[in-house]
Amino acid sequence: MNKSPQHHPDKNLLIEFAAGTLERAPAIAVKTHLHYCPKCTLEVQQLEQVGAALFLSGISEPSTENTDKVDFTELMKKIDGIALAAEQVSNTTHIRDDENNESSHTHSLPSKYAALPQLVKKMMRNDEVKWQYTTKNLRSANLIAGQDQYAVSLQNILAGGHVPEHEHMGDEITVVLKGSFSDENNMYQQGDFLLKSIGDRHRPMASSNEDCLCLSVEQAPVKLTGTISRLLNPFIKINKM
Amino acid sequence: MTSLKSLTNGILEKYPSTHSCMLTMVNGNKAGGNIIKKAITCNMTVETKKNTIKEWNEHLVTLGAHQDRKAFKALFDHFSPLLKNYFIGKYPTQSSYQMIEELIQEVMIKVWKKAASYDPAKAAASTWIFTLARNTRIDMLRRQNKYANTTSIETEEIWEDTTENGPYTFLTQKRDESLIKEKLLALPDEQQVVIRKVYMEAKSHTEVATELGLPLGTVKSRVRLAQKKLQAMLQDTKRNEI
Repeated sequence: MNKSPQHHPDKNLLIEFAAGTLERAPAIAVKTHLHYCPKCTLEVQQLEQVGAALFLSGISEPSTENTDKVDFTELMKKIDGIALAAEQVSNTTHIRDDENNESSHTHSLPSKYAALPQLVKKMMRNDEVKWQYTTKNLRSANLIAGQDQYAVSLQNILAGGHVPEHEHMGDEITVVLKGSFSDENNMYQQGDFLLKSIGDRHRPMASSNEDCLCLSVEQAPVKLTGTISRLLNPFIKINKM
Repeated sequence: MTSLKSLTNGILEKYPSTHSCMLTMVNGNKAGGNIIKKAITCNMTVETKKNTIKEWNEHLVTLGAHQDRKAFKALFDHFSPLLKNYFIGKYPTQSSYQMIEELIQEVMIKVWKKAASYDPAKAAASTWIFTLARNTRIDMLRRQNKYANTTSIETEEIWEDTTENGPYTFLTQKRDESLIKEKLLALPDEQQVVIRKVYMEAKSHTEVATELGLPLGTVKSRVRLAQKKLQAMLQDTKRNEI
């Protein structure tokens, strides 16, 4: 029903992701985009191969005389110990069980969220999502991403609704999860990845046929620049988790 | 049977046309015998070549098929110095030695545990192990974050061991490791430095820019140049070998 995304993270962001240096919250945004985007998924895989090439270019001759080396016998003892312990617990207990627990964990989510990426659903923690109206057309809910560097939230723009023009005080990543919105420059649909930097301004508007649900990863609260800014500013304060 | 299967996989990679014979052989039909003998001979000549990427794929498949300790020892001997080198990039001080040793063990334990899920059709062993090492490093940093326990999201849900959906390409499959190293050293110094800092020292572009006293834009474009050349190099080598 949806075509693949048209707006992607830039190459440097994908490199930082593949290298594993990207902070957790923006990495979650990139991963959410990958969920919808085969093109970037392939690109990340290639960038991991670049990483593997650098990894291989290290010292490739095993130095047998090196006393600093991790001891193989010791490692095998550890592995045998783990295997034994696992056997004692149960024959059926597996790493996979975690996933099963998680899926039952998310069962109570309202069905309209069923199609969201697992990662997003986990951050919603069942029905614990608390929506707050920022403006008449925009409501948001904080998500738990296990970090304190960014405000991670769901943003829901009402069908056909405008969001007041605002200026960004820090980087903000938006990934469209459902529906679509447009601003002065473009139209953004499911899976599209949009990065706004300090000083960027825009005035998003949801398409008229349905609400637009987005994942937002934000470095610092945005500042409203329109005439009603003074009225709205107190409401847009973001509660970092 | 399992070893035959892994051998079959290895041969198939080199001789895809033998597919049907291989299957009948696995199914117990003796008619494919000559072909399989021939294929095994070819496969053995491949195995005698040292340090090819493919060799490590085979070891990993063997390990996954029946927890083969010999294959694991071979992987350990080859990869633990590389892992050490990798983790030293992030933790260069002498005092981190104990931790680095633990990180290497952690990665190798993951290799042991997860080998059965490794698919040589999806990634080279070296790429797979690189992603395990990267994720172990991310986890290590994660443990130091006081907010880590506020979510049940695992590192592997954000950074997968190997990318599991989407089309696959195979850049490093048949590459000789020494060739990769040689090509890498052919990059201009300024590009080598930045790409190593990003991948091996786990530094963000901003951190690299600060450290080298360069504008962020310069770092970004050097990283892209290096990445582009490395990727082209990996693809080129493949074309030459086919």
